[in-house]
Parts: sequence; structure tokens; C-alpha cells
Amino acid sequence: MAIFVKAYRGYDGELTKPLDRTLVIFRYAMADVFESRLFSAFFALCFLLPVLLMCGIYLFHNIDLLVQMEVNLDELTEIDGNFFLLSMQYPQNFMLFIMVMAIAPVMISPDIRNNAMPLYLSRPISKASYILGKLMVLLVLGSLISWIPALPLFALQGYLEGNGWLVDNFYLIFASIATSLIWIVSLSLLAFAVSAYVKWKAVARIAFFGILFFGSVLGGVLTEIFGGWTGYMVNVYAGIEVLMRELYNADSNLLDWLADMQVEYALLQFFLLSGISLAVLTRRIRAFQVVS
Amino acid sequence: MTADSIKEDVLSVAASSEAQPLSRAASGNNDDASETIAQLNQQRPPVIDLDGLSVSFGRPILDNLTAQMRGNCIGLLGPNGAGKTTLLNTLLGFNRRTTGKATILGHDLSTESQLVRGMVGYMPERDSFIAGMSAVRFVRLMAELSGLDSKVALERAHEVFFYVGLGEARYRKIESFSLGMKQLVKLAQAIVHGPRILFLDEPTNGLDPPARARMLQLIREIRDSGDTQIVVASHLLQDIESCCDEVLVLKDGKIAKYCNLAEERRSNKQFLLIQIRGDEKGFVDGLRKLGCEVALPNKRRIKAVIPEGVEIQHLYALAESLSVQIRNLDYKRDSLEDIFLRAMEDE
Repeated sequence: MAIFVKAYRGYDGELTKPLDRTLVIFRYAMADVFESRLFSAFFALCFLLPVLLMCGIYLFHNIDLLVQMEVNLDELTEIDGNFFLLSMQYPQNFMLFIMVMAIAPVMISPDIRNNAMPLYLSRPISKASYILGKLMVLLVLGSLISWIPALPLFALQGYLEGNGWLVDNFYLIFASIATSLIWIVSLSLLAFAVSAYVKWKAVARIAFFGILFFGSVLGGVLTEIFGGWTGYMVNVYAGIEVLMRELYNADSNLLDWLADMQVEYALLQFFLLSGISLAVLTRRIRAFQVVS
Repeated sequence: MTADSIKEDVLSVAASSEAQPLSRAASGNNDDASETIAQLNQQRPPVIDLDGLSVSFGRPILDNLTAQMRGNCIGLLGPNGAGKTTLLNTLLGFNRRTTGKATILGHDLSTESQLVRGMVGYMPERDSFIAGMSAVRFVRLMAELSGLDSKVALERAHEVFFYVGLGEARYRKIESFSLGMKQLVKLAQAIVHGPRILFLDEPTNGLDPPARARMLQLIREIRDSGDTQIVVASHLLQDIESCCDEVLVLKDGKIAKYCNLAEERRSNKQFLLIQIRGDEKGFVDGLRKLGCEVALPNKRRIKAVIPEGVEIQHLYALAESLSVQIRNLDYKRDSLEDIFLRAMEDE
């Protein structure tokens, strides 16, 4: 049994670097996320699709096996940007949305509800470090279920296809990384901003979903009234859809619905959404409330 | 062992035995000791240096505060709304200064706020914790955020819980703690990283008498450790009096009084508080004839400052001659309450 000193003593030992303190927030937030068994199960489930796709790509190139399985080879589609967009990026974007809705509202609202901000901000860390530490959890977990599993799929396809497929389709790596990160960042910051104003986790989740849903409905109404791209600016999903189409160099006839919006406006929407969310968050995250 | 080394040992023992009576003499006389401490305090840089500090949220909250605070434990006193918490928040960098300058341990808040926050421990007034965490994990997190290595933070988190008296409860979730326990957890997270300066905002709020005594005892122990200087904001005079050596009294965002308590007590005249039964007027007249300064704070209680040459037996002789009973006789000095009330009236 350990015996602890029952006397006060100061500390004059080594101190860690500022970046390490950001990582402390990340480490503790990450541990908190995996305390939920339900989330752990969901996270494991997210890897099912990449594994299945890997098997699919292997099968696609195994002609003998396909013949044995009596698959009509003429009906098989080509494995290209369209394939990865529809079979990998779309489903993983949905999983990312579920993941952000599950954990992002839980990260900041309890700290604000329990008045923990003075404890954080009286220490040598800034608001930016605090937000970055929390955001890193979503970036890391989101990356693990989106673009990181896509890399071995590209590699496998390139290896099995040969003929310089990987070189010809190298843009897919960038497309996968950029689309996933843009989606994670925009959703996470929006969820943080919403949860900073809501006390209860469940209400924060509903509010986050509500804002996205309301945005798409409002976007539709504004488009009907004014026409053009203006309505799509409040529809987060429209923005990411346009960016995905552009980055994956996708055939427009493959997509069920496509916003009539230029890429520049989609990027502008991303930066505006992130900027406003950050501004709201920074305003809300403070050590004390001013009573006027 | 050589003859030289034996000689050196004997000399060092002699030197230490010579030094001992001096230190005893210093500790034997409280006034001398406090005077020495006050002189030492004057020689070192101020703990907090306020130079025309003003803070405004639409209306002025702190107005042109100027003071150099050097005590080991500094009390911020004032009625509710006087600006105590705002001053603490400003020193922690939470509030933006409107004008003026503030330095903590020689570091300018406007240019070195990160450095200052690394040296500070803060116990807020309101309930503050992170939900869903065990107490020891919470305090460990706070230590790591203050810059301690993970292993050291864990070790100190356990230590600090035993120190504040929550050793057995350290694995419980903080939400399950009573108010008194939560106050101790707040203190634990404020001292876990061994700060050089500790800000305590109403540390005894909501505590029952034993818990309050325990909290004040802990504050005194931290003060006496010499590792940490303390700033306590409170509206409870007894709390400030029991652990602080300097007091800054705030009223409406201004400094109403700033004093070293020991010096203030020394400069105050000692007076006798006499309780009598019998001819009060005659007794008071008699005291005045003896050369005493007399005041009557309330019925049958007489405050008298005795001049040199007048002894207590003279008072008993006077009482006997007037057939007055002296029921109580006590030496008193001005309490912090007197100082505080005077400060409130003066402004």
C-alpha cells in the first residue's frame, strides 16, 4: 500500500511544453469518448465497409473466382473515382455525421454546464488550445474511419490493376483526405458551437441535427424564391456534395441530386460556417459570465 | 578523522549554538518577529503590483487601483459587489484591463499572461468541476494542464487528496460529493501543481464550522510552508484575520484601505475594556482625573487608554473609593472589524 505525504509542498520540477497541454485535453477527451460501449461498438462497425470493399476489390480482379461464381463480367463497373465516391466516401460521410452527432455535443457542453472553464483558462492553456484539443479527437477518430481506410483500398486497387492506375488516379487520395477533413471540421465546429449554448447532451444533439435539417429546408425555400446558388449557402450538405463532385471528378449523372452551386461558393460556405462557428464558440468559452 | 576536521565540526556546532538563542529570541517576541518579517517583505519584489488598474464593463468595476502587496497571505476584503472577484479575475487574465498595469511576482500581466498562469493556482467561488470524472482523475488532469508530467501529476494528485483530508474519497465521482468536499476538491486542484501564488475566492463559502476551521488551517499551513503566497478574497472578516498578514479593503471598486495587519495592530493603542456596576459617571470622572482617555461604547462598558505611570491597582483603588464593582477588565486592541468599519466609513 502506498503511503502519501500529508504535507503541502511546492513544485519546482520540469514543466511540459504548451503543445503537450493541448495533447492532455485530447488524451482525456479521447478516453472519455471510449467510456461508452455503444460508441466503441459503433466505431468498430465503421471498419466493416472498408473491409468489405477490400474483399470486393480483390474479387473484382480475381476473374477465375468471378467465373466460378457465375458473375457476368460485362456488368461489372470500372473501379475509378465514381466507384470510390459512391461506395466509400458517401457511406463514410454518413458514419462521420453519426460520429460527430454522438460525441461532439458531449465534449464542450458538460464543461460549460459545470463551470469548468475557469479551471481550464486559469492554467497556461488558451481557448484555442482547448478547442483544438477537443477538435483533434474528432479529427483523429474521423480520419480513422474515413480517409485512412481508403488508402489501403487505393493501394490494393493500384496493385491489382497495374498499368499505372495509381499514378493516373492519384488525385483520389487527395480527394478522399480533403473531403473527409472538410466534412469533419465543418460538422464538428458547428456541433461545438451549438452544444456550447445548450446545457443537456440530448438537447445539444437534437439542436445540432435540427440546425442541419432546418438549413437544408431553408436552403430549398430560398432557392425556390430567389433561384441560383444563394439558398445552397445555408445548406451544409449541398456544399460538401459540390466539393465531393469536384474533388472526385465525378460524373454528374451518377448523383441523385446536385446543387447548382459553384465550387468557389462551396468553399466559401465551408470557411464561413467554420468561421462563424469558431467565433460563436470563442465568445461562449470564457472563464466567467458578465452580469450587466 | 583528522584534527582539522574535528576542529571544524566543533566550530560549526559552536556557531549553531550561538545562532540558536538569536532565533529563539526572535521567535520569543512576536512583535520583533513580525517586524523582521515586515522588513524582509519590504525588501523583496511585490507579490502583486497594481498601478492605476481600472476595469470597466460598461460601468467602472475597478477604479484606478494602486497598491504594492507584499504579504505572504493577502486578504481582499469588501462587501458584496466591491470588486474582489473582478480583481482576482483580472489578475488571472480573465478580464481585460481598461487602463493601468498589473504585475504578479514581477511579471507583467499584459505581456506574460501565459507565464503568470503557469505560476498560479485558482480556487473559484462557484462549484467548478468536470462531470463524470473521479476526483483523483480530475485533479490529475488539472495538474497535467498546469504543466506537470503525467506520472508526477498522478503522484501529486494522490498526495494532495490525503493532504486535504479526502484520501479515502478520491476515487468517487465529484458529483457525489457534499458541498464541503467539493470545496476541498477545488482547493486540491488549485494546489496540486505547487503554484507560487494561490488565489482563493471565498474559500469557506457554505462550509459548516468544523469544515471552515479545517479549510482555514489548510490555508495557514500552505502560507507557512513558504513555497506559496496566497491571495484570499472573502467578505468574512474572521477568515481574513485568521490567516492573512496584509489586507486590501475594497469599496465600490476603489481601495478603501490597504494595511499590514501586524503593523496596524502595533500602531493601534492598546486599551482597557472595563465592565463595572455602580456609579458609572463618578468612575469615568475619576479615570479622567487619572489622565485616562475614556470612551463609553455601550452601557456599563468603558474603553480607557491608560497613560504611563497609571497601574491597574490605581483603578481598583478608585473603584473601592466609589464603591464600584469592577466585573470585568480586559486588554484589547482594534480588531480587523474596527479597521474594516473605519475604512467603510472613511470613504
